[in-house]
Amino acid sequence: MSDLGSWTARSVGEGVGAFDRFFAEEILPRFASPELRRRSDAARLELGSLVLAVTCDAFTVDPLFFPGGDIGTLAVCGTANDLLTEGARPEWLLMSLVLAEQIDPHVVERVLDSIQAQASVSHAHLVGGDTKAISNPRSELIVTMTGLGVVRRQGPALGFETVRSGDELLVTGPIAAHSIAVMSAREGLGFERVVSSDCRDVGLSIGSLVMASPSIRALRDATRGGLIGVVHELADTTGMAVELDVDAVPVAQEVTMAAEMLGVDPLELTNEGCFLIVVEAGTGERMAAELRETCGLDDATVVGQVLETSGPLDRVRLRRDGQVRVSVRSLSIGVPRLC
Amino acid sequence: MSSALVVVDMQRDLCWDPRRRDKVSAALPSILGLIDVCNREDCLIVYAVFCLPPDDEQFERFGDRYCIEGTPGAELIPELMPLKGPRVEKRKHSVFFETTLDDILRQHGVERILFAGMQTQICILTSAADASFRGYEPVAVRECVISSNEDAKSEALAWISRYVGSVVSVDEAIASITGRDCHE
Repeated sequence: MSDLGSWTARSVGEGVGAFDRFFAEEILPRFASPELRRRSDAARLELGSLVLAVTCDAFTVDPLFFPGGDIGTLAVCGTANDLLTEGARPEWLLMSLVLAEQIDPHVVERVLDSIQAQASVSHAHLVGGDTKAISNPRSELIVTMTGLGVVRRQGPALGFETVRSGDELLVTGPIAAHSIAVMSAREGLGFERVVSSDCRDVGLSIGSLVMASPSIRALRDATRGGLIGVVHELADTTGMAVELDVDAVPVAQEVTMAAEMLGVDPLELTNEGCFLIVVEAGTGERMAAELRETCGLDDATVVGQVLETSGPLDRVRLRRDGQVRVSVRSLSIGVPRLC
Repeated sequence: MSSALVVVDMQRDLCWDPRRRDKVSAALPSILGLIDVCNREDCLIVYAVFCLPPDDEQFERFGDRYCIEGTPGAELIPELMPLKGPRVEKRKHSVFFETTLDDILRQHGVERILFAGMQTQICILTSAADASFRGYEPVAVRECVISSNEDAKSEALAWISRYVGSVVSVDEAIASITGRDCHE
């Protein structure tokens, strides 16, 4: 029986601190598998000499179509990005659609066209799925996507459990654009013309590097909970401290403006095409240069470091304007001022 | 520079709300004065109004229902009658979001937009940002923009000055218009 005060469905859905509690209190005690304890975005399944990565995600977004993407591209790219965290690409997809009975069929067709187009670009094959209809749901369409791929990474396996003190942190691009683009398209905030979602299959740019580079320890796409959420997961999973140089984190000017208008922190906003990559100590600058020059990720940069911990209370430290402060994991995401 | 005055959300449901009634009363003389000057000087005046379906999602978020299409509460307040320019209906915060306003302003060769109305920290703020991104010069007229929360109004005006436009007094706005900088 859960403590009714410890989590709510809404806060669990936001994927931040309340989800951690839900996962620890409700999932792990019932399903005690070592793979679950890794808390990776995809599970590794060893079948003899073959290692598969598999992931499953339910996608909802309002509006279904937003600057830079739609729920279809989001589903395929999100699945591909989760598989990349284990060194795999999306080779097979299974898709489940939950349709509102009143949804316009043309909307569904547009979304399916997007899924087909993105799956083609990502070289993924849809091999199965299911469709259900329900009456009067709040979301017109929910897409659940399962992705499978062979782990093709050469060298040491990826994962936060491989991280060591001194390792460096990089981000692959500017943060927080997805949240701002979606909120602006939903609320009419005026930014929808100048901010587009970063929704993309990042493996198309960095897949080869991830498969081959031994200095990469782990990577994670900074989706719900934002970059700071992934940093907290890294600290919690490894038991080490993580220092994030906030001033070094790339944020587009329009995103900064919108975040300030809304009273939200870009570090907490959702990304759909930005990874945090942990690399071996001393290799951060070289990796950032490779991401910029070889992979075309112009804003890739070193943003922090893993350190020895001095205790559980100050594991995540944010360096801003030369000052360092401790970051406390939020239980839920704050409500933007206008929304 | 060609200017237009955009008066935002001066509707019965919003203006007669007890949380804003006093603020509206205080701002109304300045707004009416600015409208008169713009009208006399042949400056375009546009009235942007919320026109919302009965089940609009923003009602749940704001815990309130207002400006539902076809209801008396969605009408502009009587003090603004007769209107001196076109009325533009909107469903979201920005006055430009899926409305005809951009087309109207471009047809009139408008480059600078004076904003009056409410609320400063929501619709005026997002409209000013949107105007800037569309290539206009947004100007918030301090005495003519309204908010139920003065701190929020101050923060919003500071944001506008910092990032997208300017904030002027009503006297400065009138001087800029009578200086014949509105569209000829």
